[in-house]
Amino acid sequence: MASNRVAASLPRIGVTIGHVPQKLKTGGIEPSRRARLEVLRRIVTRTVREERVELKWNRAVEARPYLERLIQLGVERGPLDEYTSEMMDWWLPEKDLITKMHEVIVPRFQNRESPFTSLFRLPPQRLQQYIQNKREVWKRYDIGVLEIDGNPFPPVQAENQEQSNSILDALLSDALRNHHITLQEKLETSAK
Amino acid sequence: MNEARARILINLRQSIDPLLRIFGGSSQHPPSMGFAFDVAGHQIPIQKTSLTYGSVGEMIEDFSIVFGVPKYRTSKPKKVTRKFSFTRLLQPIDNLVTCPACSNIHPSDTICNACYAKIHALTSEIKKKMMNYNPYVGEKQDKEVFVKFKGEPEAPAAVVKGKRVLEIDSERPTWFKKLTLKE
Amino acid sequence: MFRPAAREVVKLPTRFFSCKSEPTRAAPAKKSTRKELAGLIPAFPEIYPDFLQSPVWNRRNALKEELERQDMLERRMNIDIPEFYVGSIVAVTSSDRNLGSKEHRFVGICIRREKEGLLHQFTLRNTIENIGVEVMYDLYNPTIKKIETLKLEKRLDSDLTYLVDALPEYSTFDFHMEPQAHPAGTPIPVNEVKVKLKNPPWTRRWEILSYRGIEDTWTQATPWFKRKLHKTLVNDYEKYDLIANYRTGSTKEQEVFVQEQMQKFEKERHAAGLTRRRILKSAASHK
Repeated sequence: MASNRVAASLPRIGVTIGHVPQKLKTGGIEPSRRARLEVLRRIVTRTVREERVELKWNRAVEARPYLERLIQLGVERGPLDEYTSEMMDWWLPEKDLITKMHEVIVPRFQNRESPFTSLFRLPPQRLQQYIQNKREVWKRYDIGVLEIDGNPFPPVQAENQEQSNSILDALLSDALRNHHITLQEKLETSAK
Repeated sequence: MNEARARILINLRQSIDPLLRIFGGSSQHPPSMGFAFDVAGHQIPIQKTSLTYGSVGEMIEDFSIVFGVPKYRTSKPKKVTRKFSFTRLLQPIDNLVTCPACSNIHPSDTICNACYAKIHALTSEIKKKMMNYNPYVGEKQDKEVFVKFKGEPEAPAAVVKGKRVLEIDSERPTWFKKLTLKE
Repeated sequence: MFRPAAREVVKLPTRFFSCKSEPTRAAPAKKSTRKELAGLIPAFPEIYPDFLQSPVWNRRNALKEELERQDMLERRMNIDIPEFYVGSIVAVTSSDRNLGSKEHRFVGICIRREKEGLLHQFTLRNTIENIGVEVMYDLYNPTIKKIETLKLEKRLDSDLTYLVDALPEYSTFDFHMEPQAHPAGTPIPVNEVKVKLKNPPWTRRWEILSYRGIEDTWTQATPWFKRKLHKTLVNDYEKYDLIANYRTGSTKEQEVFVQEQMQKFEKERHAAGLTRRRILKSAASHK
């Protein structure tokens, strides 16, 4: 009972995709397949707007492939494609974010392969919920930090520093750094 | 029946008062237990030797008709589950590592919490500046963002390349990758 | 002077220590699937649905697929299996020892293409003496002698099962139809005909299924089913689920891999001088 193929095949997504869609229960919304998509849409919209968000771990894991696929559609098909624009319209209900997607986020990844996002896990945290009759209610949270790569924020994890003290490594790294500096100078002179 | 009950209550008072004195821990004399009905009206002769309890266990045994007691024996599996079910067992955490930057200890599959707290603060600051636009009058995030920290000279045009420059009021943190500076 | 590190160098951040929540490393830029590779067909999954992987994720088995692919390629060296789509008019000649002529030719519109690998099936439909006839053929059945595409075209849907409930003129085709040549290099024409259904009862509730090739099902549907619509699970929002078809569908990497294997096989056979038959070809992207 297949109706028409909506999308030609796309490359693989370079992130983990669970084999069972999670329910993603949220207060105020009755859990259903529709509600799940709505929750994911909220997360995706927020991530595109803010570029780095803190979420519950399971939500971050679930939303990440959707974000990847949306960026991939922009990279592979471009803004003029019918299917891409339909998906962008639904997943990003705020129209200024569609502009951001096509003008800021997608150009970052033109020469890169998936994954376009990073996900980090924070140690489990106990946070106070409320105090009821002098009884403190605490809850344990697994928090994940989801971000779109190439964002302007400071890196979550530092880049690997040169740890070797051998003279050869020191000289090589120095030579590389000089090479970068000359490249930069050339870039500046060409810009002028 | 009334007599019996009154005797029990007197016994209770006599045996609990010294106990409270011991367990209360304070030098003050603890308040004596008061009862709602008159005990003195019955004039029961108090035989100290036979009516005071030697131990708490003895007292509780006598009181078994007053306290709520289990009607059925708790089965072995229930007891074992209550005492040793997986929620009661303490699991050793064997995946702890030390953060190379701040020596904080955290599980190996996570990032360092202390380091992230600093990043979180700076991220919020940049985010606040980044989100400072009004989409309802047609403003959009249509440019890449370039972050300029306090005390840094103007970046060359080739680096900024039409990006939106956000000026942050704090110094560039050392967490950033060391930038090559030239005199 | 302020001098940041060169940003043009695409460098993936390396981490201090192994971290499970670390993102998967991006594949090195060895072979870009973004550019169309030479000789490869963009519409591969539509032309060769038999070379796709199973839509059931845990039934995908690389070894089984490889062995089946070898058999399929061998078979394709012996019989010319032309390009056809659901909606094309196809003639199949198969051998039948019980007939006087020892062979049987059936002409009809292809209404379905199902299953992957050696078990791939297609169904032809025609009306013979006012009776609708559907014949299901296994594509790799060795008793099939010849497959011809009489008219190469597509319809608005990739499943024409609804022709069962359509008026007979939509599935009536002449057995002595002349094959119509498709000019090479032109896109496959889409026949945008919208069929009219017979009056209910129907085999399925066509009015709630989103087929584009049926004309005005809602008017024809019976009031009994219209009244039941509010009880029907309407899940048209599921087309927005970007990941739902990720495990059932095929990936570009797999398609490129299979096409390259087919090209290699073809080249080897041509070099050995055994045959000049070509396996991987497409009418739309023919040069």
